[in-house]
Amino acid sequence: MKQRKRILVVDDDKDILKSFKAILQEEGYDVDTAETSREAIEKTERRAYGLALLDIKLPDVDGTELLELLSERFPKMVKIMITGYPSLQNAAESLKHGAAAYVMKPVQPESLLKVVEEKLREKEEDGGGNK
Amino acid sequence: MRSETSIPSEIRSFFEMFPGQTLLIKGKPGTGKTILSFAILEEVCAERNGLYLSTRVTPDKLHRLFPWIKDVVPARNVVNATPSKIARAMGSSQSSRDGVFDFGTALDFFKVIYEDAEEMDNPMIVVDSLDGVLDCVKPEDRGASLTQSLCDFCHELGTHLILVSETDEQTALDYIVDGVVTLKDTEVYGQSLGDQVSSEQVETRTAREITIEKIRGIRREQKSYIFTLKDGKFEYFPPYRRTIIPVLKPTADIDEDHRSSGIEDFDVITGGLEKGGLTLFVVEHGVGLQYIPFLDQIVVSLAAKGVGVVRTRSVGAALPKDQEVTKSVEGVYEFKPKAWLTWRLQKLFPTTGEYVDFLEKTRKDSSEVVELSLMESRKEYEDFLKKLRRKHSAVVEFIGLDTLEILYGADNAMKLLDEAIARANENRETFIGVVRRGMKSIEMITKLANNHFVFKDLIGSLFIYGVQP
Repeated sequence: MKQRKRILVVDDDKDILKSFKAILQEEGYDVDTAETSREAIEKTERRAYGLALLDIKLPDVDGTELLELLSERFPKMVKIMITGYPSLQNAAESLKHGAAAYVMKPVQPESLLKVVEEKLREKEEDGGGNK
Repeated sequence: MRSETSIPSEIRSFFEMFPGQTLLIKGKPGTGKTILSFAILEEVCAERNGLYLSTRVTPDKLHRLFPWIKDVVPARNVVNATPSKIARAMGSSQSSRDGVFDFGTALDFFKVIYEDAEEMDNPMIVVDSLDGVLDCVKPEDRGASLTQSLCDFCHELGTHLILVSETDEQTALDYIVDGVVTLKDTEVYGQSLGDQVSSEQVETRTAREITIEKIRGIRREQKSYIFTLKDGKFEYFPPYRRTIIPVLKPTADIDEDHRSSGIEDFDVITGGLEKGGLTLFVVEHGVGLQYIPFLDQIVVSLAAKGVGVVRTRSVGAALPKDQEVTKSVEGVYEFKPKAWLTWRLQKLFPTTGEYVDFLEKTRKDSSEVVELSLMESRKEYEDFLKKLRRKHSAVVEFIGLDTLEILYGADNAMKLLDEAIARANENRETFIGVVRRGMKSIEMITKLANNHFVFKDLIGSLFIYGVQP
């Protein structure tokens, strides 16, 4: 049986975590959530994720810093940034630190699934594999 | 770019096609008619079988003015046809008072000349000038009939004839002869120096132009060409052909303040590339990529003597791969600034629509993104320079300033230029900038240049001229 692709969603908004998890699980993904950067780092140390959805605004460490950290430690993991307050600065920082995509809230379920699916497929095509 | 022949190939082909061709060279005084006629003799009469009739200048003076023609037209072939000489030659009985002759006398004189010419193989006669001859005949004989008779002689005897006329106006002669060329000085207009386009504010220069008005039986490649009379010799400039391949040859610095460009003529005229400050090349409209081999030669020559050359090309200024030589030369480093940041941001968004939404939401302060791009590239460039300075004792910057303006805006391009000039001054090193007509910051940049040259296309040929100093 084919292994389900694992996704980590990081956001301090519990409602977002809940809805993202439901949408992604519905499509057959194995989803974990984290409310802080620290929690996200702990989870990525314990399990391997093929993709992470990261909110730009997090209570402890800024989302772009978390992105930088994850890019250093897990370069093959697909990182997608989520923000409700788009800025050129953040977009540029995200690009610089290896984000594969940038999604603005509110996110439509079909848009979310489309970008997740596309980026995971691109990763596979690049030979990145998936855990 | 120079040609292998000094005269347009149409003129050479014209005289090689049939014996007995007649060519009229027209032009105002000082336009180079006499020198052109000698250049034609040199090109066409390889066996020194040209006869030159001088109606204004004595043979002795002619040889003093143009010493090189001794090899083309020996002294014995220069005929003194000044009025007094004609009178003596024809005898007093046939002359009338004041040195004015009738039609028959003048024609007899030319018959004698033709008889001499006939003994030569493929001869050519130059009458310089026809006006001088016509001045010697009675007014009623000055029409086309004398010239027609001269041309008829040439056709019958198979002798080439060049008639030099001191007017550039169209006359009946134009219909009689087989070919007509006009020489003139032509104004070359530069760009407006300010916002107002008035004659006082437009740079002008004079160039010499030869126009082939008529040339029977020969296809004209071009109607007009630019030419020079440098060192008293006629040399035309053929249309530009991209055949110049830069040569990898180290050339010693001219002095401690000037590097050699590797282009001998340029060094002689300009004194070389100044160390410190900006040496600017302006590429005018219509030049296309013709100027690139010229700059490539400078790049290659500097690299050949161990100087590191960091080059940021102008936008679109890359030659096809087979003509691209600088990339394989050690010591030449192409620096490509990262593309405009917003272009790269696009890949972050799942769809174009989302990217456009993002830009609309964030474009309130678009300078923010310019600054980000600028800071990013500036640091990267400075790090690159530092690395090169560890490798090379000297580093020359060679920047397409239009690239900076497009990527970072005119104001930021000026800031980067200012820094580069400061580096050149601090290191006492040559700094070369290239701008293209149409850039917003071009006027300001030209004001900062110590040396300012312009590439311009004139009738299909590439020219470079100096503006500053």
